[in-house]
Amino acid sequence: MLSTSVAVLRLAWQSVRRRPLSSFLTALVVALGVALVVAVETVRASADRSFTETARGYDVILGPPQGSPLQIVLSTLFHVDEPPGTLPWSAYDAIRKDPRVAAAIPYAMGDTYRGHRVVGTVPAMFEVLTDGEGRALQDGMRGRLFGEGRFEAVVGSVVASRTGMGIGTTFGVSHGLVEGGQPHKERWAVVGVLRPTGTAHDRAISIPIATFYAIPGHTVPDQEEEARPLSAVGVRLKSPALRLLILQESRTGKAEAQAVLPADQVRKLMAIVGDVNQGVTIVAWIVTVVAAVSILVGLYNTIQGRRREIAVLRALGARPAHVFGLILLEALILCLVGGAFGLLLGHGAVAAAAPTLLGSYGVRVDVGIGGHDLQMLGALVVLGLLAGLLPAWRGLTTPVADNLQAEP
Amino acid sequence: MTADALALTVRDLRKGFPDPGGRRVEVLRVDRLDLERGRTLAVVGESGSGKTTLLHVIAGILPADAGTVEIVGRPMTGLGETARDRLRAEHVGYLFQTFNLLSHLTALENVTLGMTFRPRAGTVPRRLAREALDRVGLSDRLAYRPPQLSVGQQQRVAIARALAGRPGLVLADEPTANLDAVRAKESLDLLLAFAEECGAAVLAVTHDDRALVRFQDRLTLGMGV
Ligand SMILES: Nc1ncnc2c1ncn2[C@@H]1O[C@H](COP(=O)(O)OP(=O)(O)O)[C@@H](O)[C@H]1O
Ligand SMILES: [Mg+2]
Repeated sequence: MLSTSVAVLRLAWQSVRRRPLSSFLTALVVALGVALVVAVETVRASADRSFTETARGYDVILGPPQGSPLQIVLSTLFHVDEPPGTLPWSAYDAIRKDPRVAAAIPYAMGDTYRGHRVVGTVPAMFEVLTDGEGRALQDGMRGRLFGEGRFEAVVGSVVASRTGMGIGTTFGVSHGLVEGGQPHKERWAVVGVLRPTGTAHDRAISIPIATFYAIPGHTVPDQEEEARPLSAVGVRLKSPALRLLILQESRTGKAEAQAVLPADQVRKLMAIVGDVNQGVTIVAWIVTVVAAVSILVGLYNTIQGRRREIAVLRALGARPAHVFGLILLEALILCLVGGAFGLLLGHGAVAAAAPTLLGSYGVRVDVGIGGHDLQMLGALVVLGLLAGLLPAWRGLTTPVADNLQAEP
Repeated sequence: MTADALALTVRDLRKGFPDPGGRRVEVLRVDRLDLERGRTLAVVGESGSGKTTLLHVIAGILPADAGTVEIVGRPMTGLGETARDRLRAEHVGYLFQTFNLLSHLTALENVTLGMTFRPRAGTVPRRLAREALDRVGLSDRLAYRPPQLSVGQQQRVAIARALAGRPGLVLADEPTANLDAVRAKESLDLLLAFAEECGAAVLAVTHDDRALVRFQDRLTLGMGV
């Protein structure tokens, strides 16, 4: 019984190899579909993880009262979108002194240098915020962090590679997010370059918050500390469980700031992004299913030319189930060989692109084979069996006596 | 199976096919046929007399309409398709006019294939296939595929395939019709000698008068149908 099954499997393999070109092409289409699914899934999972991890940096973000919570989170954590307004320095002072707060990081934003956002903040930010793997941003950096109140800057890896800025480079800042504004006369010196972290800070230039207000042409230059406007304050609590309490207090308190929960906002965002991703994943799966259909059609068409072969097998004692299994296995082999190749191709492409994605775009993708691949192989087995069903049925119903007489 | 069972017994066998109008036309009628192990029988009859159909029914490739066929004491008639396939795999060797070797398999694989579908094939088939190819003088051609072999060699591979599994009965449908006179004689010599060594009965359809005399018994079809 077992030896017969092994023999049928061998026959199927020999049969697939007998048509090298058509087998190669059908397997290739399967491989491309699978590679596409793998790539899309990897990027999706990586984006999910990166967003979620970044959001974990702060339990609460204090933003201007008028902005939407999502806009506050996007502009503060991901440097996407403009900060929707300002909140007074006093709000930062108050939260900083709150005994429940472990760390409060002020942000002043609104300027760019050569297309890269300039963030006024404090050195502690590089310790509080982490990358997707939980490493602090300052880990593995070249040079050092800027000193409070000094005209020094820390740049992200993408900024460094795109602009050629390095330790010792000096630069002036133009006002406003749009380029082409009047360059300011103050100059900052780069004292540190972050390692590629896969976070928004790869694309940002950070300077001490006090020097941010020293920018002439700024809406509020040279003011007393208390009157300086902030874009946001990132807050790490001693216990994350306190965040709902802070949120509630903010709602009932003075309307100079609003508290938002980054984790909630990112979850909402992922729900939207997830829909788009799902669309792409469905397209990738359609490619794979089309590949399975091409297996079906290709195999079905071979049966006509293999009537004598099938009749001979039957004359030698093969049972209908053997013929059925033989053709089913051929479909399965094409599907799984193509699929295995596609998994390698997909993961290989992702692995090959990962350093570039991280270095030039600040996007970290997770390389590696996971449980998703097993699911994928399971789905391919089902697809292969489905693709083989009709050709196998045709083989099963091929008349024996009539086809034994055919010319060789 | 008892040791003294006949290789083949046929009683009151009938087989017909529907004509284009759908009426059933009887093409085969064999009232009685016994073949002992080790004996040889030539089946003769003009074209269309049902010779091939007889072989198909004996082998269980086609079901009989009526009557009984027994192979080495086991009934072939009255069985379902799968059971007939099993019985054929175990006890019947088949030889065709066009050899019917699979061109993408080697000589050794083709011969092994003749035993692959036996209910308890195990690992013996490969060994038996080597022995059989050795017996037909092709031990140096094991890895050749049919297109790389001469016509005579191809028929020797087919003979090895029919006999490698030591079946009780070998059915041969005009086995030498595609060969020239010299090759045909060699081929028939080989078939009959190898079958005798294996103790197999041979039932062969033939047109060739020179071949006919080599068989111990004769069955003529087409008379009285
Ligand atoms: N599948 C079939 N359907 C209808 N008629 C058939 C079929 N197979 C064979 N026949 C008929 O049965 C007769 C015997 O055929 P066959 O056994 O091949 O003859 P032989 O081998 O003696 O030349 C022929 O008249 C043939 O037309
Ligand atoms: Mg015939």
